[in-house]
Amino acid sequence: MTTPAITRTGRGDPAGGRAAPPAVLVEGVSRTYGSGARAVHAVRDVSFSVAPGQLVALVGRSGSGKTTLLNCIGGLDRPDAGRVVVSDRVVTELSEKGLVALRRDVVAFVFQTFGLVPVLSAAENVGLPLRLRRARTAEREARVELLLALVGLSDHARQRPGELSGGQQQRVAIARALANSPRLLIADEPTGALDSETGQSIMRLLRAVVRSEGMTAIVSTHDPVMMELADRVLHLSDGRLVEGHPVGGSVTGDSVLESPADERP
Amino acid sequence: MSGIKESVPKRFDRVLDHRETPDRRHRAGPAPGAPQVSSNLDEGVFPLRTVMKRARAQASILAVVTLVALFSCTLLSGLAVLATASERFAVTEALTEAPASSTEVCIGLNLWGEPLGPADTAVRDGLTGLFGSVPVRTTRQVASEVEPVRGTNLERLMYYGAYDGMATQARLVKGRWPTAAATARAAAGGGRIPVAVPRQLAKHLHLDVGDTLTSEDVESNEPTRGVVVGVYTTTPAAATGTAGTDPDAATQQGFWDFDTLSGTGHAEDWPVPGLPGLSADAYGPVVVDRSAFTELILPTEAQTRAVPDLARLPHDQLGTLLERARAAEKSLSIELDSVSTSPQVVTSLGDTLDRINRYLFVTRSGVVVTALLLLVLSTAALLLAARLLAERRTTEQALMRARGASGRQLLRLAALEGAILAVGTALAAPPLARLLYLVIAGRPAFAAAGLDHDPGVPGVARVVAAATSVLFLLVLLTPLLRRSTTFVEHEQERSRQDRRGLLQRSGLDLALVVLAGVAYWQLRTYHSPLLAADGELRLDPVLVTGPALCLLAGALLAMRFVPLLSRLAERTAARGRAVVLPLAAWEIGRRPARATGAVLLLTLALSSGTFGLSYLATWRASQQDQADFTIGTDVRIQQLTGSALGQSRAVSAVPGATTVTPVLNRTVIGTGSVQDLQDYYQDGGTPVQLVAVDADALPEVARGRVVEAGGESAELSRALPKLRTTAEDRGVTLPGTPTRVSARIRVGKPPKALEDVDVIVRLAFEDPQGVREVRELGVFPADGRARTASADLVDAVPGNGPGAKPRRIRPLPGLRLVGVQATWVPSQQSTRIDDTRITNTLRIDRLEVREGDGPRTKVTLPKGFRWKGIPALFGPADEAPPVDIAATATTATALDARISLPIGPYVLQPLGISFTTWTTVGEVPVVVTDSLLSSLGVAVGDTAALGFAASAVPVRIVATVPYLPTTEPASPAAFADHTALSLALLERGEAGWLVDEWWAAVPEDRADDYVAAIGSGQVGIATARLAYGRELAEQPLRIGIQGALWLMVAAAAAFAAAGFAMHATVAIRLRRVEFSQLRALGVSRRALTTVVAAENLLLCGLGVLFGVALGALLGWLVGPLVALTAEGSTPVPGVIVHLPWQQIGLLALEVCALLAVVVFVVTRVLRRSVLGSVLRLGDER
Repeated sequence: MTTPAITRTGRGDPAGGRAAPPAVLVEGVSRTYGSGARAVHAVRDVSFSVAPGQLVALVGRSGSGKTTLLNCIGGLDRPDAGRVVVSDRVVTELSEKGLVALRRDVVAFVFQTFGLVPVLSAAENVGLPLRLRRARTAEREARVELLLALVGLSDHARQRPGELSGGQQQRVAIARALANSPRLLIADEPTGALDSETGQSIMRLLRAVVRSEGMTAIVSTHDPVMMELADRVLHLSDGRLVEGHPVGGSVTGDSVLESPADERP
Repeated sequence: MSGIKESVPKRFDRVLDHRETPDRRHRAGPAPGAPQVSSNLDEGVFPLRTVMKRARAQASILAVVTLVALFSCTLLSGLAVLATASERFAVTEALTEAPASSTEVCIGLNLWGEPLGPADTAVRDGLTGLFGSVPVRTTRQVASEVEPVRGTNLERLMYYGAYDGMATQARLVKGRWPTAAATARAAAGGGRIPVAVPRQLAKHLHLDVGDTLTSEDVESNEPTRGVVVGVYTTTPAAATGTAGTDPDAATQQGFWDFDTLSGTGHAEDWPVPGLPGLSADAYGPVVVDRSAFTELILPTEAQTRAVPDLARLPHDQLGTLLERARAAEKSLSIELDSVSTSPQVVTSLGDTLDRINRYLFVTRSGVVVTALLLLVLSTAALLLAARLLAERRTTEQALMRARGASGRQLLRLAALEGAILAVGTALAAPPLARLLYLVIAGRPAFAAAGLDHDPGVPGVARVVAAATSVLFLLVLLTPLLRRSTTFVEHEQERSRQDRRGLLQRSGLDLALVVLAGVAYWQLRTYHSPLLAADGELRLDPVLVTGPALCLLAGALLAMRFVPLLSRLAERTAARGRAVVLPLAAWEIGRRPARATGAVLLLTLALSSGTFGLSYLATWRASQQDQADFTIGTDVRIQQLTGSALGQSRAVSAVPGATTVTPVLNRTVIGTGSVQDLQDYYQDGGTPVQLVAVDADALPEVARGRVVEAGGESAELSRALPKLRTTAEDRGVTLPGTPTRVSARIRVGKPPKALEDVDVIVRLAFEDPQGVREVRELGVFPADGRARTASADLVDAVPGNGPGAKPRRIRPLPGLRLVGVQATWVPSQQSTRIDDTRITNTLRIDRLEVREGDGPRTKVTLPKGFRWKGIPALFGPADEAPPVDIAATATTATALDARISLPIGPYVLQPLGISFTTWTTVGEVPVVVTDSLLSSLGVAVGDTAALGFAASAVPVRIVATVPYLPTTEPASPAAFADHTALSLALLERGEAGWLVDEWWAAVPEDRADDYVAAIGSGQVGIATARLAYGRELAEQPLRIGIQGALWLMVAAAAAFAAAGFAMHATVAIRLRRVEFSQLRALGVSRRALTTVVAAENLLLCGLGVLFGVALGALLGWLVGPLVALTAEGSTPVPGVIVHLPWQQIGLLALEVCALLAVVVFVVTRVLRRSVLGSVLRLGDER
């Protein structure tokens, strides 16, 4: 299949050049659930930054605080301490209205459980963010078509999540995440509910679209493939950032966009 | 799919150990050694532990479902409590309030010297056999034969009597009452029997206490000697009426009916029985102790009046007593035949109990109809609750199946959980139902009906609670009985649900519509859910389930529109650019089961509520219509005492009425013509209920529901004006307020005297209220001699209270002399048999009136005053004997008439001439019922005749109607103008009263006071139509229907609230993850709230639309068929359906208020939900 061309403008060079401000800045973020003896310190004083265009893999054991950290970055949760800045917006200081705008225009999520509305078709799910932006119907339909083609699901536009395989659902979720051209893509164990083969395919897709769309991405994963594909890997253990280092290697679009037909329904 | 498989253990572990605290979730990994489902679900307490853990985890939805079940169960049990308790209390109340005359058993025995002892024993045994353990108050009366007082040569007769309760009905003037002890001493010693004598006897025989009174047997001349121990005077009760609950008072009703002299103590010229033409002074009773009749005095007749204290009749013995009472007259007569000749047993107890039983049955049918509607509603609510619970657990169930749990194991788990809930519900519902009854019974109408007692918890309530709980259990298990599906199938079903529900797909809803159609057709055919067979009512299952079937079928049919409408909404909304409306439309259109369930419940609730409100309003209005029809006017006054002129004054004296109108309302004989009427005694005739109301009151009759039933109103409204007579001044006004009128009468002119003819002369008066009455001046021989005679115009009526002096009531001022009636009758000595014509004169002069003891005032006739002489013949004019009448009047002579009439065969019967001062009425226009028209075989425009006591009037039929107010529906009846009829009767020589009752126009708010004033003034018995309407609707035996309907309306409102709230909250809970995901996409909380509001607005709109429309349709179609009379017949006037839109609007408004609550709840849920936490849980709901 051919790779659809998606062009972005005004995002700068993710590889470097003049030092651009970080796409994501996390400073001293802590999040504790409960209090007293029952307090659970999910995230403890975590600080890091992500340059624009980078794909960062967030790894750690279950319960290490990956999801909590991602939720804090994406504005789905508020840290008890610290600051999060995403595309010059101080997320931790945003009002509810600001958070809604952030989630609608700047950040996109891909969940382990796909997060698709079960009663909507693939196309309708992908079109939801565009409806939020009140895009014109023609524009919305064209964009949906494009995105479904990008994730290789043009033929499944009218199918509903329950009629798709896990991998296909995650592809729809990725297409929906891309709908409003977000600057930051947050994926929380996007392959957690998939078998390894499908997971790899999804990872490659993610890598490809991040590259092609020029967005920044933070992906929590246990998947070594994803770690290999990431520009940088952050290790989280018991809520603390243990280590962070860039990972070399690149992935071509061709290798990522393998046919979804290969996935078992 | 592999991804799904990997997720299963983790999710399933959470089902089994579902503690959702964040810390727990953080630490939760795949549970090491997770239990194997299939084996562990079968092990010991594990299922119970699983159920408990799951209940803790899903406490909120389980609580909602349980509450709905408990509410349904309480409601249906409450209805059972209402039915049984209200029946029980109502029967007691009805029996307590029943007049003694309607429950007493009166036994009359002809003893003719037979001993009293065996008769007493037989009566006691007979009553015990009839009433069983019910206490009975008896009043025994026994009397001897009338026998002469010794030494009076048959001029003074007396009789002995022993009456129970004599001391309450008579007052001792001197001495004491005879006692059993003294009588026993007399019997033992052969001494004189202690007696108490009437005052008159003591006076006339100069008897004093201690004197001897001796009577002797007519045949044997054996003396009976008594010693006077007391002298008494009687104080008969001043009025009759209902006795109420006091057995003492009850047995005193008609106390003196048994007495030979009716309690007067003395009668002059009393005809001696068995000796025609012989009369004597009679005295009695000479009171003796009852024991005297055993040996000393021979009893002739005895009477026992037994009034049962039915307030103490055990409820479950009503049927038994009813059976016995129906046969009481016959069976007691047979039993007593051995001790008496032709014993007489009279009782209305069987009819009374029968009527109560019918009332109960009719009320029960109404309650059953309501209960079935509530059952449908409750079942729908339970099904919705069960469906929502099942939906909440769909994923869990699918995962458990995926982990190896068999359908049977899952069913067992659900059955265990359902059984726990059902048992709890069954135990909790009956006490709550009792509280519910107490709340309903606290309403004023229930309290007024005497039903505000604590009924406890009847057994039937427990049975209903248990049955409802079982239903609840089955409903909970139903989703598990469906075909098992794989996880993938389940996910696919969730994604793309069939827009049509199971009922629609299978066509069961259409089958139900057909069934409902059949039931409705049957209902229309029989016009009642009750069938009468052999005089017994029975509930027909098809008929009684008709309304519920119609409700259910209508609601299910309406559900066929939900997918169509939702698809339309979906397509419309999807075209737009926004997200809110499309999301709402998608939710409803693509989760049709959830939406349909909510709309169905709302539809059922609102249609039940609307139907309940409509039925209640229709039923109450129908009761009032029936009351209006029965009473005919604002206040109807009956059983007046005294003459019509006195009644007129008495009624006028009571303040509060706008107008009062004399009414003639009696049964007369109707025939096709006057000639037929002459042959009536040979051929029979048709009894006709004739109502004649004064023309001034006709608009009142034409007002209101009485004449608006089913279109008949227009006919009666049009017909009534045709009855009016031309207004004219009649006769001459008597000066002042005369109490007596006198005149000099001379019949015949010497020497042409008719020695064998007498003439009865009567004067006809009319007072300002249109009351006409004839007063007799006397019987005058046609001997040509002038005689002065007078007539009293004052009316003497009994005084207020026992012993009170009679009241004298004068006529109203402005009394007019309007006519003279003269009837030539043969004297006893007449032997005339030949056919000759005679000429006779009648002269009335010196007409004077007097007011009290004041001077006489001459009545002067105005110049030009003319009499019109009319032969008051009993036959058509062309067949009447030729009578020539010439009547004149001058200022000096009131009437100077010359009559030439044939004497011959006619002398054998009176021949009357009426001298009138009005335009001759001739034929009286009448409106008749269809029934009378067909009975007489005549048509509109024809003439017929109505026969009265001593006269007959020809009538002309001007219109026909199905029925007439105050008359028995479907019976022959006629309506006439009172003025026209009474004048026509006067023309025809009618001398009887022309007023039977009075109708009063009274403002509604003063009607009760007016009725009370009529009662306290002892004018008569007044009934207000509004009060009677209230009585019909709120009498103890009927209030149950209203209670059930109130319950249904309240339940409908509650179910609408509970069902909708349950649906909304559970749906929100189920969509929490979805909402979080949408919020993660950037959908604001406000937008999500709007989505939910839009969804619910659409559901509410559909529910309200379908519900109100269906309820109104049901009320319109079924209401008239189930709103029956107290006795289970179709009401007259016909039922008019009422739709109380204001109350229905309130019901709909309640749903709108719910919508606001739902929006509020959604806002709170969204505000409180932590996005991260919810999203972390993902699909695990």
